[in-house]
Amino acid sequence: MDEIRYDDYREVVHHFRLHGRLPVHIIQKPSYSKVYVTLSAPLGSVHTRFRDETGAERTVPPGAAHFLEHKVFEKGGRDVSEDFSLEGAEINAFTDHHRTTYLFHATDVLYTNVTRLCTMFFFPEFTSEGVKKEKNVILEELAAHKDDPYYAQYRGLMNAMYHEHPLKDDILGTEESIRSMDAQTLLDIHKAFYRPEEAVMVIVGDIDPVRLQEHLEQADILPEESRSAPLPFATKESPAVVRERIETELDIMIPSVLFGIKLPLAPDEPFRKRLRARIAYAILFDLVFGKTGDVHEELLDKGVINDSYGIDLVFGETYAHALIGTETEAVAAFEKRLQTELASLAEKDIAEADFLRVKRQLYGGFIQSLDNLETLAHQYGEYIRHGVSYYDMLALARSVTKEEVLALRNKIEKAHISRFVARPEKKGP
Amino acid sequence: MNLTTLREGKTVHQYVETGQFKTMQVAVRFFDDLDVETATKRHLTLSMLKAKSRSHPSRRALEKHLESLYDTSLSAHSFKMGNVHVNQFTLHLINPRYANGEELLAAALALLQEMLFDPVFDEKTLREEKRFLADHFRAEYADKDRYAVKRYHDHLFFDHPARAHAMGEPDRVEGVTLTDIVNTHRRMLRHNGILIGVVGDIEVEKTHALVKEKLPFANARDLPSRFFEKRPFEPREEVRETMRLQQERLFMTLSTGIHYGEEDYHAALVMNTLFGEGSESLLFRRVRIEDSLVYHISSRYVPFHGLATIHSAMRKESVQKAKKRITGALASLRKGDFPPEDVDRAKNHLVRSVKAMFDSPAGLSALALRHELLQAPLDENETIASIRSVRKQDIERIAKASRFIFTFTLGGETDG
Repeated sequence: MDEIRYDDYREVVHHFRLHGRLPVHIIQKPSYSKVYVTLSAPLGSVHTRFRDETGAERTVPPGAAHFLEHKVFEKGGRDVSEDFSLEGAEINAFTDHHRTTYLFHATDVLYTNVTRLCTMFFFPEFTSEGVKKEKNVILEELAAHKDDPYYAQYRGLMNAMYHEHPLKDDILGTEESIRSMDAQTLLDIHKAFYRPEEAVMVIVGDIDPVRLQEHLEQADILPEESRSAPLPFATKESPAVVRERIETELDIMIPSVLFGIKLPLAPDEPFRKRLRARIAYAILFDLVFGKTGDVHEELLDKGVINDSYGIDLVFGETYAHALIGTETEAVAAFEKRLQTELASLAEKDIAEADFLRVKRQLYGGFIQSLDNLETLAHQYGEYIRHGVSYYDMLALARSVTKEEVLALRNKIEKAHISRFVARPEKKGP
Repeated sequence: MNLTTLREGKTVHQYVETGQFKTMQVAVRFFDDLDVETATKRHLTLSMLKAKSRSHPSRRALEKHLESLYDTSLSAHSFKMGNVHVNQFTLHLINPRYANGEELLAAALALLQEMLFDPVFDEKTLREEKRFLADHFRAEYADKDRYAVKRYHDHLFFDHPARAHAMGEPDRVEGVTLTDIVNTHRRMLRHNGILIGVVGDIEVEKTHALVKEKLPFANARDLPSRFFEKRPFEPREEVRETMRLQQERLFMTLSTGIHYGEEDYHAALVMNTLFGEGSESLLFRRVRIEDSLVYHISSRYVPFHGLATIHSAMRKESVQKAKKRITGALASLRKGDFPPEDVDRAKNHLVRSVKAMFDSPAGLSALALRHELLQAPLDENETIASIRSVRKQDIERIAKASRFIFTFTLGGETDG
């Protein structure tokens, strides 16, 4: 087992490969009552192709990753959550664009729940009847999305931004794809994507890593090696957006504007390089569009925005974009000001004091994240999949220069920007 | 973890020493009666105090200052504890050990001192804050779940002291004046109970001296001692409202009659958990897993009012069946028609929640607060023993005495 000490932060991480296959990372957090465990498979809503046991190329239907996440909990008609809860653990799961993550937290019984998680994850026992029943549950989940106007706005923006990328589709799939899901397809997908070598387990808490390893090594919890495997993400996406602007009416009371800006981040570049660019973009957008920038102050003073204004930078493995949005009665003024700022981004300078302040902010945010087991487990899991430790992120952030940030100003073009304007429907409550 | 409680006049100071975290939390709480007349003013006063300070006279300058303090966060929120209204400031900052020994706590407290004792109250900021709050209320309509919860609350509590919302009422925002803000601020400092809680890797004596110096509340009143009145909720007519929704939002109110701190309090907690909290509950198992009627269903116990609210969403044609399954689940509890393992699961769920409270500065701060105000045990073992001691017959007895008193549904007009 490897031990890595991060003395600056008083943290220790252990790492081993279970049976030489499944990577397990243990972050020790003395004095914590809770242990938080995640196990992730590299299957998200954007993955569309795999090779099955016969060598044939197959398609992943829309929503299959999420559907599979639901069904992994079934053991021959039973819900395996009950077994976790009887032994003091609470299990859950979620599917995002690039991975499916199962997680539980427990305060007393750890070892048997970790083996139970592996068994559930690697050896699905769901039935055709179970798949049939689950369709209604997922259709209800989809119906909840349809009742959410802000979700409609977000989905609309993604479709205005992306030509081919599956990001534009709902993670849950469509009514049609959900209704036509079958158990065998899900099992085949499972075999290709839920492989120990590609999965990642992260355990955070006050635990003895040696005893945990011994316990896991004794258990027969990994499947035989599979010939089926994911096929690389092959969608080619233009850096330009599909439509510059969409306006529609939704069941809301205040108009809402959401800008989406595609950021050029080459997915083929090494992760460290992409991470560096992510940090630099985050600094740039924070300084220009954040709450310490000119734009925010001016729009607030003029009464154009309210405290719903926010920016969010989203970096996936195969995409990157910035979102800037607000509720506003002054839709045109907001659009115009943001467009002007984006068009003149290349002329923006960054004061040294502001740059240093943002570095301190990044540092503080990082230290704060170490106190939250859930955040730490998910961040660590996300980074380590690409061979980078979350604890190295800070050194990387510190080394980003002002020049690197300034160099990004020229990379954002008008053709990369889309916006979705939602106005209240004429008939209100 | 070690709690030290000190009193400066009537202001209560709580210091929780723990080496577990890399961050610290300071919470300053102001307690007053919950009142529909004053909640809006109290919330707006809190927002005004937090918007800017004498040394950082714009939101932008304030934001820059907080960022320079290693991303210290300063939040302000209003909430309810039964019939008591609480205005709370929270500072969350990293331990100076990780900030090259910089005196971050002193700097953060100095900021709070300035905001509270030398506030900047001006018409421009009041206009902004009123606009933000009015917009917030209008935006609630877009979040259909939140909107449904609010409508349910308004119907359930229409004649009850708890009917006021912590952030106030939409139709009272416009009428709030700068004079109201000045008067409300004065009342917060002179006529409210005040409790300061600090959690982190601290030296109590040194930290107390600093807090005392920066936050000298000389005129605080006693902390509240009554958070609810035992008042029976009578059954009332079912209410259905409509709007354009795919799913009906269903709320069913179960009156247990058991309030916080009463002999059966822990038994009521276990019963509610077994009934509808989490994926191992009877409701989740029957309504979602067996019948596939819903994506989520839960029951939430509100011990200040002795009520549990069952909440779910489903297509219109499933509502009657879901209601039957919910009342059927209560009938099962009354008859003892559930295996002992289900009780163990419910207890495990609660024990996990109790222990998890000790894993964050905010959790510890809340525990210490409840200890002071509600005499809740600070020792987790005491609470866990109370949970573990609940018997199956206790659950049956409470279920038999509980009754559904109100049903509210929102939704169902697909054609607008």
